[in-house]
Amino acid sequence: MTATLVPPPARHAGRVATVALARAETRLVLRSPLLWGGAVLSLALCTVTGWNRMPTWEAFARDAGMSSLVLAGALLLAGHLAASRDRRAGADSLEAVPTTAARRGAGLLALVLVGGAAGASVCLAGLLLMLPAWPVGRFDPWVLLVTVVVPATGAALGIAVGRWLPATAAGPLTLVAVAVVLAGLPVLSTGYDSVVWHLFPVPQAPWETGAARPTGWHLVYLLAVLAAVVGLLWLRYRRLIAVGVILAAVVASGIAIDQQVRATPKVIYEAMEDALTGPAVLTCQVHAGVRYCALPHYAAWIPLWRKAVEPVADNLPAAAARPTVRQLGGSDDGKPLVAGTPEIVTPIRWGRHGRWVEDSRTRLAVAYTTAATGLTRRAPAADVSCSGAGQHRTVVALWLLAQALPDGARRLADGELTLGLVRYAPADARAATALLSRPHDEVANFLAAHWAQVMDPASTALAPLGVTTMPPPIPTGDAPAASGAPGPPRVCG
Amino acid sequence: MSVFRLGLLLVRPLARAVPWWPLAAAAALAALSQLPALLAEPAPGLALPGLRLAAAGLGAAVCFAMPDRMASTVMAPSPRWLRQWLRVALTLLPAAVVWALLYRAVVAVGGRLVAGPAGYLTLQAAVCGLTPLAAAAVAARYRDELSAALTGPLVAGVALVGTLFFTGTRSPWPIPAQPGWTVAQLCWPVALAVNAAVLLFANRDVFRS
Repeated sequence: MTATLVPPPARHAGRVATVALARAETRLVLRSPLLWGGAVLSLALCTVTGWNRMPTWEAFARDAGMSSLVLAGALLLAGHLAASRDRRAGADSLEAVPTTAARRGAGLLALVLVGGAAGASVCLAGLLLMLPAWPVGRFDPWVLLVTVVVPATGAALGIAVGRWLPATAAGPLTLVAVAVVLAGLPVLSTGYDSVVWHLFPVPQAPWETGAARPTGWHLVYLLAVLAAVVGLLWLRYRRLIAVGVILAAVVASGIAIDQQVRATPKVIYEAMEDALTGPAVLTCQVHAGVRYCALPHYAAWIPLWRKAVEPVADNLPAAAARPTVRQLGGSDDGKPLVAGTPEIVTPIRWGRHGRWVEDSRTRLAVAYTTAATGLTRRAPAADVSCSGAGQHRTVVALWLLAQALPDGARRLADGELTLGLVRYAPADARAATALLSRPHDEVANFLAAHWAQVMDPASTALAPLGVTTMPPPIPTGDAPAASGAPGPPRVCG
Repeated sequence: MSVFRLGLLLVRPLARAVPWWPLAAAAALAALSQLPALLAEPAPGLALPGLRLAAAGLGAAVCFAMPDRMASTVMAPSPRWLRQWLRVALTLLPAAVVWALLYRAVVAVGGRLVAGPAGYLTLQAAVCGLTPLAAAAVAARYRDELSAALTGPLVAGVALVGTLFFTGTRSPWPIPAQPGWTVAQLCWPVALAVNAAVLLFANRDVFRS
């Protein structure tokens, strides 16, 4: 056996020093309260902002992106303090500094990597803190990478400013300057298709749920800004290379912004809306006789809607039509999926935690109840309130809702139960309370046998069950009361 | 020698000792922060973020006048409270004048619509400006280095981010639309009083054994 001694690869002394400095800077920044304080604040802000609603990828990306600005601010200060350490310690004038200023600047760039890693960690922690909920909607990896690039850019900006302006006050004043610019961009923006709109580091909501955004180009723009900031740092040491990098970054960011503006539609046509949220693209499922139609990538919310709808639908007679539950994006043409089939709509927002989820469930249960009893119907002007006072189907709606909501009976008795846009009289609530006091099967069987009569707004079908309310004259037309006109509200027809 | 005369004698050396460039830079940034309000179409409250940001930036700049780097080196013939209050006055007064001029300019160009009622906004601006100053004054009490001034912007930044956790009626930022102030809005005068009290405490003399 022969042993051969292989000399270690020769490494340039300067590079060794740079790596050692980078490691030292990493260790220092990992102990910095600025990094940890910024990360905790950023994570807390991201979590609190999305606390009361079920997460979607679009909302989470926006919340995480905006929160990453806080981390970027903290890293800007940390980067500035690190870069100006030489000046504060009076080391600039010493001959015994271990390596050149350029290599010390290169070693500081470790903070940029730490900033990116911190941003990614905060984003991941924000996702994990949402468990067991998980975002729905269109997943866009590029927009999430904003949370990595923004803190890294904050650190790079702090280092560059610290190298050029090592005075202690320069760090906070740079932070104020960045805040001034960022606060001004949304105000100066004139819309989705304006250049200024795309300069803001965090991409704003798309023009419609699920609409593709040029987020890849936005990431290119952010990376170009990062490269330009690093170039500013090198401008002090390697002028020619730095100028080249800055020019290339400016050109790249200009191209990226131009591509973003080009990819944003200036006029939105109905066909474009339909391609994203129209009937053809909905994901429909039938559960317990109820059809649920969710927007693309939102099918995971159907179980949430079922928890609100099924307590109502379970008490409907077999002969009753089950309204369809349809999710809407940002626009509503008022047309039902199937003409003549009752339908209710639910937005791209659903509550999470405590009273927010209860509020969402209650809203959907109310909408389903009034649609199932014919008090409301899907129409272009369906958001006008109407009066169901005196109608027996209003009493049935209250009876259904009181059983579907957790403390519905108490709320009905206390006059706190609402039917949304449908108004009712105290006599209707008393009649519904009287129905609740009867055996459930008796009422259910009666409704099953007389459902067609109950649905007639002019009938007194529940009289055999002791309901004595009298329906008002029912108008024949569908025209709502004139807007702003005094007088009683339109009767639900 | 009377305190008044001592103060007059101190003004000139303190004016030389105080770093002025942060205030000049902050004044320039404060002016820049009004550009959106001046360039965009006038809308209710358009100038509010810029005016608050201007106050916070000017307050952050004033912080750098607080550390007295010679304080612990020699016995000073004047009391610390006098020197510190003179430092505050020398920089805070110009900062307040700059803010007031910017406010008048914004109102003159965009009307009162964009800036809202003067009283409530001035209260917010005073708190935005005094919060960093009070924090820096406390830090300067314990450390003589210029880096002690960083405490001011840091505390103000954390306080600003802290308000973002409160939304809707719990947010302190909206200008009250009616006479009744919400609990969050009532926090502003309390915060102003706390800042003033902290500043009073921090600028006292230091007695070290």
